[in-house]
Amino acid sequence: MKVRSAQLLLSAVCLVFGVLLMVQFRTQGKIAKQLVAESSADQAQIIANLYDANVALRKEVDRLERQVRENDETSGAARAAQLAADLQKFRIVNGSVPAVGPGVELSVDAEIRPEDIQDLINELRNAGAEALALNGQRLTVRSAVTSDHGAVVVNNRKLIAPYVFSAVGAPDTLERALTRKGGLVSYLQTTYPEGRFSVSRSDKLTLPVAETTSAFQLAVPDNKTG
Amino acid sequence: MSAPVVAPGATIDAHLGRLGHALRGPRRGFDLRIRRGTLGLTLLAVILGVYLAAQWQSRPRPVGAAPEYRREVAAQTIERLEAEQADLKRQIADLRAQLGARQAATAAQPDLAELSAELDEAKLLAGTVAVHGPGIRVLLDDSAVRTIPPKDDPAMYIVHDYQLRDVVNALWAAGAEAISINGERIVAPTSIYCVGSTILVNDTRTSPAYEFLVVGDPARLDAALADSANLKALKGRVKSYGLQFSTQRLKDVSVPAYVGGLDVRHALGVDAPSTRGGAR
Repeated sequence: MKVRSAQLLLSAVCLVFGVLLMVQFRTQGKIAKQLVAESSADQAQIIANLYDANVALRKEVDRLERQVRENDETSGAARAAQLAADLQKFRIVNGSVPAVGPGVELSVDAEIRPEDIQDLINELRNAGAEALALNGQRLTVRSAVTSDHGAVVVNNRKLIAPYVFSAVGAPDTLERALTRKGGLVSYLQTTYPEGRFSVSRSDKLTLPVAETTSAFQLAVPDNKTG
Repeated sequence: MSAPVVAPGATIDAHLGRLGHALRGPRRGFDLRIRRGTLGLTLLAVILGVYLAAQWQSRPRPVGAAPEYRREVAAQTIERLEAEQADLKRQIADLRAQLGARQAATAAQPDLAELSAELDEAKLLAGTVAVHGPGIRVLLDDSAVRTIPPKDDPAMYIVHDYQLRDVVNALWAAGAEAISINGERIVAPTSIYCVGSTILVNDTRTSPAYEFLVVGDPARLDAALADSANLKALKGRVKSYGLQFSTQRLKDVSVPAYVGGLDVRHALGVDAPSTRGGAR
């Protein structure tokens, strides 16, 4: 009788123990998830970004609504002009026409890595660059930055420093993004103390047409919308 | 954020030993046995208390009620803005479809047929049209490791924005034609960046696991990602910290259309010599 109650008690202890260990284990497993939980500062940043993104999306909605309306109201020559304007916009995005406009030039005289070039391109896109070129080569969405025996290769061409990025877009926004404290450029300056980084605004940059804007060989459209 | 774990082994064994002894203890008076049993139970309760306390401590410590409340409000604001974002994207997709249908009708006009075909081609390349074709599916996820050694940096165990960029870059280099990450099509104005440890693609919050859907030559894409010369840093994290990275070749992959804005306000196109025909 006494032995049985002792066994029962021990079983109960073991059970409780097991549960506790399991809970502990699971708490540990969630560490990565806890890391992902946003801090207040991150939340503020995310809210600001989402707000800006939504403003941009609303503008696109307005623009498309106007375009649909114009399409309905016009005919013949006016409609052709609208089509041509739309086509020109997509060609700028695709790099299939030369692009002219205000923007900034970022010159990097340092032996930075292909990854740094990738990050700088990403930074410029994030700052709203509408058209980009690097050392006189137009960049498209499909431009990859690779390396060949230490040399930076973009669009299958070896580049040598200084790396000059030309970005067409709102000069203020682009300049601010590139020169802000704690930004990518200041980070790279710290990483490459000998390097020379400079940002200059320009009223008129001319970017060449992309050398390769090959049509899709494998991807087919789902339907005719878009 | 390290979870203090009281080493369970030694102490609890000692306590259990004593408890067992108390329960099995030499026969004395009935009263005494009860008192010993009570003692054992008390000890057990203390141990449980200590463990529960340790458990409690291992939770992230709240910094007080007010910041917690503010975080909650901020989280709600983020949710609201995201709902708005999703709604705006739906509107854009819908309007682009409407416009596409009208422009297709325009194409019936013989003098506009060529222009219209060029526009379709340009939209296809720009990524505002959903596409499908042979390709691969790539999965990249946080480490499956459950316990991070105290000496390690937890940041090594999670996926970062630059890793997504590296994979995208490797895919383009291998001739990819269309890529999406968690439903966001990668297009010319796309940026992939992080705020804290949250990754945003096309200004849209994403969370792991990250699924890349890619149209391109499956063998070439797969081989490029597997090539030891590529993605060295990422593969190092896979090996050392258990980040999860896998690929799968597919006969047909669907990559969604980009539904964000294409803001071209500063750049003017200069008619290229390649421009054929046009409006008359």
